[in-house]
Amino acid sequence: MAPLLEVKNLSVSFRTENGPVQVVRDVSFTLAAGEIAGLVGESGSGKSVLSFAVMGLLPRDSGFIDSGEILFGGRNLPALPRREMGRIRGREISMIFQEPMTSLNPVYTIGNQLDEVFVNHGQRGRSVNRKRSIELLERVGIPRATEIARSYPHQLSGGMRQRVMIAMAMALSPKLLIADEPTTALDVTIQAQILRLIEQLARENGMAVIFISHNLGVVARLCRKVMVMYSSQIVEITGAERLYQAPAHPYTKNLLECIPQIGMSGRRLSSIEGAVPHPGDEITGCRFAARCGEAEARCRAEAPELRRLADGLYCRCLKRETSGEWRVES
Amino acid sequence: MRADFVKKLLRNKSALIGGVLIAIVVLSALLAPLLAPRDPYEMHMDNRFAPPSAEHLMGTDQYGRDLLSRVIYGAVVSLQVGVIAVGVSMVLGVFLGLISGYFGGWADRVIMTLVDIFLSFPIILLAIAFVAALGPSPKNVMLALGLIYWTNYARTVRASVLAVKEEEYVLAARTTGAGDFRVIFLYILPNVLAPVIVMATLGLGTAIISESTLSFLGLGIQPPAASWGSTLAVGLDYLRSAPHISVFPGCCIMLTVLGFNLLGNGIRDVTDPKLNRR
Repeated sequence: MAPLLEVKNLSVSFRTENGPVQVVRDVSFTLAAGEIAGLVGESGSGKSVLSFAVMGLLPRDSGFIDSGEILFGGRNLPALPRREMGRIRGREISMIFQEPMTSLNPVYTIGNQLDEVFVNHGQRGRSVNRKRSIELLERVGIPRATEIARSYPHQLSGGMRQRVMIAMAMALSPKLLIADEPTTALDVTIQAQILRLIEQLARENGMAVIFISHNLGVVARLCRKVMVMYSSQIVEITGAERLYQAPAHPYTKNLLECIPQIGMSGRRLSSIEGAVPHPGDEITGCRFAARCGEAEARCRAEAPELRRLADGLYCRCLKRETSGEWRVES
Repeated sequence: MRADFVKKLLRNKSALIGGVLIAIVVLSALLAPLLAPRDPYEMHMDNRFAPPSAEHLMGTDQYGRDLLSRVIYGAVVSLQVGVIAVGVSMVLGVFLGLISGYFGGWADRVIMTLVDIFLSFPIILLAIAFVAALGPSPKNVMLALGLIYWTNYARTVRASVLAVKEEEYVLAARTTGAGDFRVIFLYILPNVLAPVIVMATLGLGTAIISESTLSFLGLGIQPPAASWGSTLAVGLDYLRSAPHISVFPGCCIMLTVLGFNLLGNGIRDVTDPKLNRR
């Protein structure tokens, strides 16, 4: 079966005063219908830009797609006319954001904003829309939904607002939900509730989810597939369990070592030496080589490709390609 | 919801006082023929510069015309000029500011260059040029003032739009499939209106005063028609001997502007959900 979403060799740049800066480089991955995939990486690794590219919402005066395709249900999204892309947004792909405090319009009530989603897609019956909005609020676990629909965003807590955002994103039962760090701004107990909610809604609707986070723990809980981004590239695609047990890419390995664990007191928490290269830096060879403990001369000379190492395991590292540990199958 | 809004507005003292002031002015303008004790154009050369008295509550002007009647009729002209000039400039300025801020790029450059060109001229010079080109009449004064004052709105709105359009709720609206114009008018416009309301109320005063300047220069309201501005300007010549000619229309301008400002403040307080927590 053809995947729901297939991103092929996607590169995205931003215009700056010093010329274009490439912030997403040669990214490829697929997502099956109903699949929940995690996208992890440090701040500035290009996670959010990648998701905006999929939504077709790169800032129009500065961001543009250099090359590559984003195939969604067989259609190449960047090539679609704007009107058509508008119809896909909200109905087939929707998105939730990190900051529930600012993601809702302060001048409208919750109900009005939910109704808007239906109106945007040509459904104008007022009372019908409101009824559906209230049902949605109930589905995302908001008590006293009728009352909440009449209140303004500032009257709700962060967790409630994120539920409202999820309700808005779910309004038209999209096939794909992009969740851009939806739990980062919430406290831990609320985080767990929201994760459970996303998981449950995805299961009930057969909805695929791209879950963007820099929290590996959260990703491991929710996702079966994990994509790791480093400095504008995907460096590893792997299963959630394999990520912990046998991380393939040296960066992933280092990243896991940075997570504090219970019982490791008395040891210094390790960190990755050096800093993430600036997105615009053109680097010959591997972009992680400068910080990689395993780097050799050829790592600095030759740029690695994302290669399939095993079923469901892709890695962008020259050493893994040739080490006997991983059999190269491409 | 609308009834709720009116109730809140009535509970707001500032809005209430402003509303009452404006209501008085608007009513006297509407009912001018009924309220005015005398014909505002009737001259009595034997009774020039009469101070306020029981017969002429505001006294008479340099031709012996009843000042109270002229002030009441003047309300019509001044309100019209003020409201329409501000309306024209606000609609024009807000629209261009939204376009400029939201789309950026060449639209922004063209509109902002136009604003800079307008701002580089002294306002009154521009007004004179417009009125001279269009011909002096109340209608053209309103149009000219409208075409001059839009720049302030455009700039203010553009600046607010630049901030608001980066807000996540705007992005969130776009992810749910809202088109550009829906986003502009439903999501951005209500969030940039607060400074516009305040500017409009202040602008009414400026417009009324600008009208008086134009009238003073002979380019605005033509005599013998009365506007507050023209009456005030005429009174300047006799300020020492008969100050009442300027003082009364001046007070009217002041009270009207005050009324609009108070109402504007009240509306802002009531419509801003962030200030509405009680």
